[in-house]
Amino acid sequence: MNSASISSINRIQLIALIIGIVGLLAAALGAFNDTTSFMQAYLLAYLFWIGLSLGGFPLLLTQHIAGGSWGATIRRPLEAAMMVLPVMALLFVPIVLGMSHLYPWLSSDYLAIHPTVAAKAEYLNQTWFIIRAIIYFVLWILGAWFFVKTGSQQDSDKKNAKKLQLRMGKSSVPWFIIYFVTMTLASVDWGMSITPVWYSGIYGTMFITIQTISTLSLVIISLIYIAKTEGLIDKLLTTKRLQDLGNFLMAYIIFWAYVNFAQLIIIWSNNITETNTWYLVRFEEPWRSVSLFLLFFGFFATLAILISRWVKRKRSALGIVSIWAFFVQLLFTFYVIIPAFERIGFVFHWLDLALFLGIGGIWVASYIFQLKSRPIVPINDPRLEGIIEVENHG
Amino acid sequence: MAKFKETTRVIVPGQTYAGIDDVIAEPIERDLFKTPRWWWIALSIALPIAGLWVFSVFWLITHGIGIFGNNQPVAWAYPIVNFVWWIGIGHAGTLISAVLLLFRQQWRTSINRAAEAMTLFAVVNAGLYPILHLGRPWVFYWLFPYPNTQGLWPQFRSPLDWDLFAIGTYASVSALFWYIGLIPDFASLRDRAKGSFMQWFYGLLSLGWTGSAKAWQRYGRAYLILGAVSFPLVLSVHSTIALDFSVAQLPGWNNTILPPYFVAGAVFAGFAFVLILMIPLRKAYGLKHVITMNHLENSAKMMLATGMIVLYGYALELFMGWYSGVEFERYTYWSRVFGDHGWAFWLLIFFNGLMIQPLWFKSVRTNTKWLFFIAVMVSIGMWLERFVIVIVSLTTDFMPSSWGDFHATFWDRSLYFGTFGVFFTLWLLFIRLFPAIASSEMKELVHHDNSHGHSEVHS
Repeated sequence: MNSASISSINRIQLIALIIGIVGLLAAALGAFNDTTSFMQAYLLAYLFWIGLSLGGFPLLLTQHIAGGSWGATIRRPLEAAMMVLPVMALLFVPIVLGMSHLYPWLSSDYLAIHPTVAAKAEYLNQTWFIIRAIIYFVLWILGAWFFVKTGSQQDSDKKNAKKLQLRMGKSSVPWFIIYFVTMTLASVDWGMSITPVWYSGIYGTMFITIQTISTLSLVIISLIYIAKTEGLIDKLLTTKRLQDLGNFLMAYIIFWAYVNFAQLIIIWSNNITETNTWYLVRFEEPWRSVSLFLLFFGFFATLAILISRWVKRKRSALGIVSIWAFFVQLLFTFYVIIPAFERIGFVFHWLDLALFLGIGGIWVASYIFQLKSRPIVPINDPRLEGIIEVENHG
Repeated sequence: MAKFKETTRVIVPGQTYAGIDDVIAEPIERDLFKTPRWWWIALSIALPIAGLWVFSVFWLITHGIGIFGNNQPVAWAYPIVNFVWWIGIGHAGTLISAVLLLFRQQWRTSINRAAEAMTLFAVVNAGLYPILHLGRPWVFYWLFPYPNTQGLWPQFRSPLDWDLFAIGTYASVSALFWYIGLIPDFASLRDRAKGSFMQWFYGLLSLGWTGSAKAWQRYGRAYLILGAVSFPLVLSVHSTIALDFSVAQLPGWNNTILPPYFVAGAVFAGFAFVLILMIPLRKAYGLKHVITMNHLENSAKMMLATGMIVLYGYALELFMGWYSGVEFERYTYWSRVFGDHGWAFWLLIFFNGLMIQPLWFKSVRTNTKWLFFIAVMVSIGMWLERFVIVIVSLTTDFMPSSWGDFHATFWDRSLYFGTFGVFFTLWLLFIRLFPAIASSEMKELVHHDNSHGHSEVHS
């Protein structure tokens, strides 16, 4: 990166770091007062921000398997997001420490009156919860490390660039399987088991969709921002590639709606007590308004805007839509997690914001740190062959 | 022609426009009596089987649906299994025509026409099953919401009525897409025709196509719009079919993962069927230089990818069944694996799970014999999947006192077997009378290949 871009993102990194530390300190004070609300807010913020790292997997792997030059353009931000995973692994410790405030299946009183939950104690118990989390993190960090290491090797070794690209392409398939399986189980462990009686087969896919959309939005925003000062990114971010990214975003948003619709229509028409509780809560105020907002503004309005070619080809327009899509997914994560806690009264707690900013600040600062540590364009990616030189002179 | 060498390119280099026309039109323009012998042999096998289908339908209408093995609790059996199986097969056709068109994947071009025909014939077979299953098929139009004096109005909360719209839309859009694509090719057949009958026949079909720039421009527009219309159909049709099951409370049917997992299964089965049809076709018609290894390998990759999603679905179903902690759910999945019909489950895992694993190797993906074999295995596996989901789930539901068993009758089997006759009769007529490869699109590819040098064509 050139000095102009470094100084511009250094400023953001510093601000993020300050917000992060202040947010966490404020939240820590709140924790003494109301540990349960703290833990709830922590889990929410954690699940959203780790999703931005994990969303790197489906996108990075897809572009390695199938991508053209657009894939090479988005590689570095994705790798940087995934490299925040070690930090997120550390931030998982408070969840383990405070898990009794989050997961009712840890209480024997609860199990005594919920036989269907007691029946799955072989899966939902503290020991296995922790062991599984360790397995997830080991695999995820290993995956991120593999692609970053191979990518760095490619940067310095132009001769073997093609071979290394092929290796990454081939490894992407098994990593896809690993990601799908671990993410499905992790979403059950961390999210679904807040309401231990409830179950839904599509839940893992729903989380994968949230992660993909939010990470893709972040990558689009990052690239548009960096393009202001970084000539190479500016040249690579042609209207056609921008449109490709916009189309991707649109496709994932449609899939997100599809996943939700499938779950709704099946649970609604089944109407059995084990599963209908999810929508019973969300069809009553205050969640009813959130449901309708997500449907009309989160989906229909976003789709209507993204259908336009003009929007997808214009940086500022696509940037704004991406920021919007990012916040819709944040709201949706809130909508998935918080109603399960059956908060009484006003559902939004100040700690939700404090921890969103706290963990988010740390995440963004680490992301920028990773982004700076390597060339912003994988210059030896064979898919950029002929493009970079030509576009540099053109 | 010099000795043919297999290639992984989309088409073999060095083709000309006239050459493409000759290759594609030659089998169609041939004199009736010079139709190759294999075609007559195949037709003479397919026609009697289609006859068996006609007879089974006749028997069904005259005797009622009591001729099937359906009972209580297994009220849905072979007709529904076969319906889902056939309609799933159609999906690869739509995916190839519409989705790959919008993603600008060139490898779709030489197989899209035949795949669309496959879709159409599969939908014909599939769409008839629910109608025949109605009991009084002759009043099937009561499903439509139309003004009438009987006070009839369809129950819109029933997914069976959604089926009507899903299949109706699917059949009409697929037919339209297929036909519009055929128009320029009909016109070139008309212009090449030597006899007056052929000239009249293809002239009629080509709807007065002149090949003017304006006509081409509108044609391109219409084709793209239809592509965009078909795109959501890939997701929606099989999702609707998944809802036929999953809106019921029955354990084994009500999993929320069913819609996307049915869609993946449909594409999986569809690509298997594409391979079953394309491998003999390219050999019989000498089309190895237009339907190249590239198409076969890509189809194999699609099969592997969707097959892995389907396996994820199986695993998730079992896990969620257990995780629910609900006695009935758990028992259903236990009996699916270890119960009386457990053999079907294990065979299904063998066909759909194990048999696709060799596709990880390029040497298998580029070996037509292996591909054909695996594709047949997958087709059997996907039939078993529907058998397991539909029939096995119904045999043991909630109350042990209402459990039952299912035995297929002769008519269950004959009606299924007969659909192959119908399908292959239509297919044989199609490859004899219509251009099985989109020659106008192939010419675009040739143009592209000639003017953009000899680089490998990938995306």
